[in-house]
Amino acid sequence: MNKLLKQAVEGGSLAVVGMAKNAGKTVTINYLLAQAAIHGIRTGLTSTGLDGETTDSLYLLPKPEITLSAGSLLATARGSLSQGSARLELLRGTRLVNPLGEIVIARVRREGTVEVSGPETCSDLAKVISLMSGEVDLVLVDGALDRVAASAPSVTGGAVLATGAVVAGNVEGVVRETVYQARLLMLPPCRSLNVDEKNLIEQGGIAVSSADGLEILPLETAVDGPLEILDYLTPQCKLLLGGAFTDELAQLLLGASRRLGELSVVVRDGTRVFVGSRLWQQLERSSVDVLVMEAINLMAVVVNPVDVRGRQLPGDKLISILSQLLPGVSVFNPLATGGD
Amino acid sequence: MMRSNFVKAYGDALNDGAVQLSFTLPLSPGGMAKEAARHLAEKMGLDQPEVVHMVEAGTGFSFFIVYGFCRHQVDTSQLQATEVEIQEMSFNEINQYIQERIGRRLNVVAACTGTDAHTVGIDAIMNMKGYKGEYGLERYSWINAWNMGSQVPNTRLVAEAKKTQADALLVSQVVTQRDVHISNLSQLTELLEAEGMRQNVLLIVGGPRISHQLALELGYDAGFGPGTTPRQVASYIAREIYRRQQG
Repeated sequence: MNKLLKQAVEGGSLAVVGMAKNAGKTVTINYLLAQAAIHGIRTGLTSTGLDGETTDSLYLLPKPEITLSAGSLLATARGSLSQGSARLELLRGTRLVNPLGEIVIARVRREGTVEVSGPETCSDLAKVISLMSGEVDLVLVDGALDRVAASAPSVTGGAVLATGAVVAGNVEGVVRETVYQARLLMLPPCRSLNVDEKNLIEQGGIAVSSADGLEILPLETAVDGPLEILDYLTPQCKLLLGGAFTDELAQLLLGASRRLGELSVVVRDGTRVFVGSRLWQQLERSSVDVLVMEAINLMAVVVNPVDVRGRQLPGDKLISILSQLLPGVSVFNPLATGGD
Repeated sequence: MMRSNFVKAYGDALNDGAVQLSFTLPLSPGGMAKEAARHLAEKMGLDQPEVVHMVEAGTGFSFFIVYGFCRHQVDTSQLQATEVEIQEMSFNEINQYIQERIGRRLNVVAACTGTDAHTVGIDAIMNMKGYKGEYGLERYSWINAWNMGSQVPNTRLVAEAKKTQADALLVSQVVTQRDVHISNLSQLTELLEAEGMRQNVLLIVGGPRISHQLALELGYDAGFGPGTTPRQVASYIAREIYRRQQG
């Protein structure tokens, strides 16, 4: 069994998220499903929202179909059950709905293609995964567009990031964007959080932790970088952030760090960071440290060197540069290699 | 299995396949341009293409209208159209529905987000004076409506949604080929997830290139295309929020 599949099974569930539409998420899902089938690993499949139609809703181009082997589980909206060629046995409902109907769990009786349209929100997705995980070795989640929220450790046990020529016009651009996104997902954990601090972050609160203890900020959100935050920051404090870390807040902290010196920000996980790549570079050079409560297990970066219009970038070059810049992450093209 | 229902384009008679096509070529009007247009239509698979109109569209460009016959047909029983199902109510019925079933005013925040400055769509839905003879959401006594205007960053929209305890967010976007707007739309979904708010708001997007299916892929609850009226949006919001309350 290859390393990625082994790691994925250990995590129990795996989100395949992408840098963009048409980055190769579905191809990767098919690759993982085929590998799992060879090694007798029982799989369940769902998605974040709608996916798996035969045409792309933006460009109206054909999209790859997802094929499930007999015995696999599928969690999808009732409305999409009849859309593929696989013969499905309806096992049970989940009482969770998306706009195409109730999400139901079905077992594949005869191999064939399926349309997957899973839960819309991460909280529903986590429930659907737990409903399937007792009966399979691995639950795969097909991401949508450039949404990465499904890779949060509160939802899935690991992640694969799909990237490729669709992201930028040249190798440098693809590498820059991909490394930036991968590093956000792989932000290191803060080792010194106590139970109260963890609870606060989980509940979406905002607080400053320093030698004087924990001070909870009377703010509903810091998403738009409210200036009041500055009143609470002290040298070497930790800003605990239950919500999103955005450009606005990053600007504020960069300013404060010039006055206060070292600061750290702790967010729940890498999916909560919304700082643009340029500002992120400034943060990396500053005395602001960004840490997470739960680290995402980014197991692989998969590369599709061909974009949606057929334009091709040198795949081997892309893969070798990305491998060097992202040590510990396996980088491969699922259409070209065994991925080990 | 549903019974097949094949349809072809209709021109003068049922199933004649007649279609009309318009496009521009970077050629000055003339015999050669006309022939190029006819050939292009033929390559597209039209039978007996005929250029019925050719006019200069700026120096060195010609605009054409071509008639022809398309031999293709589609089987509607094999298609799935995803569109928002709306049981439309009247202005008064909607107010009454919210008052009686939900029992409090609904908070709706609207914005053209990102770099988008095209407010025509959102204004038509929100403005007091309304659109196509229909009042906008601001006029509804049981809806508190905020229109944040154009070029609103996602972060400000999310902050406003939190402040107003929004029940629904209406985002207007003119989706472009270059996908800038698409990543901006999906970023809003992600921001709401990061802020732990996604499951508490009805997230709606509208615009000329927005289909319901695209909206669902973006992680929105509904997508409305051009021609949508305030009453359709208000009916959808009221019924969907009531349905969610019922669990």
